[in-house]
Parts: sequence; C-alpha cells; structure tokens
Amino acid sequence: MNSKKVISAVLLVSDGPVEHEYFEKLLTINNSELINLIDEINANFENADIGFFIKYNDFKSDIVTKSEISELLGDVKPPAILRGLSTPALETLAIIAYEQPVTKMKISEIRGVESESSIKTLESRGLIEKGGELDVPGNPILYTTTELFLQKLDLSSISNLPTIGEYFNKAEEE
Amino acid sequence: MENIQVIENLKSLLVEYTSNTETQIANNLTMIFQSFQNKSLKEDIDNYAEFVLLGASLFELKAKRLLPQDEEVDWLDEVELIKDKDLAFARLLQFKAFTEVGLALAIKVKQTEREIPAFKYYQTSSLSVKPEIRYNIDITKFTETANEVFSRYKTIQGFSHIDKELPDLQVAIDDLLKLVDKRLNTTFEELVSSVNSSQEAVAFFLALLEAVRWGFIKAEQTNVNKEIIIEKNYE
Repeated sequence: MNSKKVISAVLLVSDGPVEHEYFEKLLTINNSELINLIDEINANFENADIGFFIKYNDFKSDIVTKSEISELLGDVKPPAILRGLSTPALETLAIIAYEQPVTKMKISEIRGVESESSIKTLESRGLIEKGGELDVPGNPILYTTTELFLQKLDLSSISNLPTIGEYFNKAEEE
Repeated sequence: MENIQVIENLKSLLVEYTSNTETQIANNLTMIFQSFQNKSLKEDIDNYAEFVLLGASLFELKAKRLLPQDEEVDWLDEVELIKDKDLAFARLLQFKAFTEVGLALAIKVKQTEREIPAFKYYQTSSLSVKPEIRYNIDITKFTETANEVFSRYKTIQGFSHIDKELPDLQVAIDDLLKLVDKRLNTTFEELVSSVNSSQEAVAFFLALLEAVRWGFIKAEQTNVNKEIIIEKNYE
C-alpha cells in the first residue's frame, strides 16, 4: 500500500526521471512488480481524471502531463527545445545521431558545407555534447547526442533509434 | 529470366563494354527495354534500382559512342567518370536522406513534447544509481603503480623545453627546395620521414608554406586525409 505512495512521491520530487533500480532497492521489489504498481497508480489517476500520468520504459519513469491537454497549457509549459532551429541544424542533429561519435569535419563532409554554427546551437540546447577526441593528429573532437536528446525522442538508448530506411518506408506507406 | 541473372549480365556487359561489338550492345540494350516490362522486376525495388542504374550507365556509354569523335576515347576512363558521378549522386542522396531524417526527428520531438515532465527544482539527481567501482590491488601491483607514478614525475620537464634551440627556418626552406629539386614530385610525408624531431617537422611545414607563398613550389592536398603532393613550380 505504501509502495504506491512512495513511488508517486519520489517521482514528484525527483530531479528528472528515476531509474527503476532505485525503486527496486528501496521497496525490495522486482521490475515487473514495479511496473504493476505504476500501472495501478496510472489507473487511479485515470479514474480521478487527473491531467498527468507516470510515463515509463524498461529502465526509468517520470511524471508527465497528458498529451491531449498540451495546447491548453499555454504559457505555463516550457519552450520547445527545437524552437527556432533551422533545417541545417536538424540535418546536423540527424547526422550526429546516426553517425556518432562523429567529428565536425565528417559532418561538414556529409552536408557539403561548414557546420560550426549548427553544432554550437545544438550544443547550447543540450542535444549534443563533446564525447571525446579522435586518436589522430590534431585530435578532433567527437560529438555525440545527450541523455536529453534520448528523452526528447522518448528512447531508452541510442541503439533504439529507427534505422534510416524506416523513415522512408513509413513515408511510402503514408 | 531471373532478375538477379539479368543484373549480373548487365554488370559483366558494363565491365567488358569495350570488347563488345555494336550488335551485341544493341541486342543487350533491346534486352533491357524488354526487361523493363518484366512485372516481377518492378516489384523488387532494390533490384529495380540497381537495374535502372546499370541500364542508365550503358545508355550513357552508348550515347557517347554515337557522338562524332576527333580523338580516341578511353572507355575505361569513361567508366571511371561514371563511377565518380555515381559516388557524387550517392553522397547527394545521403545528404538528402539526413535532411528528411532531421525533419522526422523534429516531428517526433514535437510529439514527445506534448507530454511535459513535471517541473522540479530539488537537486536530487543522486537518485540515479551510481555504478559500484571495485578495484582490487595487491602489494606487487601497488608497488608497480607507485614506481610508474614516480618515474613519470621525474620526467616532467617543466619549462626547460622552451629554451631548446629550434631549427632555423631559412635552413629548412633551403633544405626543402634542395629535396624538391632532386625529385620531380614528392609528398610532404615523404620529406618529413627523414627528420629526427617533431620540431624539425614543424620547421619543414613552415618552410613549405613559405616556399609556396613565394611561388618556388606547388603543393596540393585534395582531401585532409590524403598526402600533401609537392612539386617544383616551373611557371
């Protein structure tokens, strides 16, 4: 009985998503028991017509608002992470996502133009980060996507990104 | 005919194009036209794409043969040229694909952002489980590590390297020009292979820049990963 209270309270005060391993140790339960408890909490929220629910994947959970009321949240919701981003910046993000870890030179080679400013913009938004250096003369910086990028795409790992072909298959189906 | 068989025939036709007679080429092009009508081929999009590419390459070669020619055309060069074109086309496709993927990612992010995480301002990031680090060390390993640390400490030079005598740039320019004079063309990597220190290599590189600036030699690097080709400037 207390488990549901603890889970919902921890998610309410936690700084970002909480890993399931934390709950499993705290409440001495396994992952499937935890998922059942989260589902029960979500059912309670649903019955009470609450505007948020616990969103989870296999590894972590967080409290999020329901998508159907997104437009009604107006000014209280945070600004979109991609606000004002240009198509070149999105291209750069796609290249880093699929080719990571990747150097600035490789990105520019694929795009055929300089990509410095796009990289800086994406870095300032927290979508990409410096993930090391390539072991060649000059030690160029390698860029990778961040945890925030995964959160924004609702992915648990970068290996869960769809293959590039899947985007085009979907487009053909539509 | 099986699709794969058709494609294999086309590939060999393209490779051995120069040795085929006009009649053979005409027959094969007719076969391509007929195969386009093959329904099963159309259904197999991968094979179809490869088929169209091969067909287009053959048609391009055929079209070039029909043009009046003042000089002998090296057909192998033509095939190489088509390969380069295909490569450029592939890169364009790759770039276009990433543009589309970028837009698809943006749409997905927009969808995800419809569910807004609860706003929290407590610093409780320690809730993420930290991996346990276990490091076993015995007395021998500890001694080895200590020796390594102290030996590294002893080799720290401080600022003494700044006072080192650096190579003379004028001498490096003279050496570089002498070496380039001896060989018709060479590469920077070849020139620096004989130097003894990294300082000398840097001096050689600066000498190269100076010599190019003064027009004594020409240097070309087509790609950052490729060698710097150097030759004497006879102009």
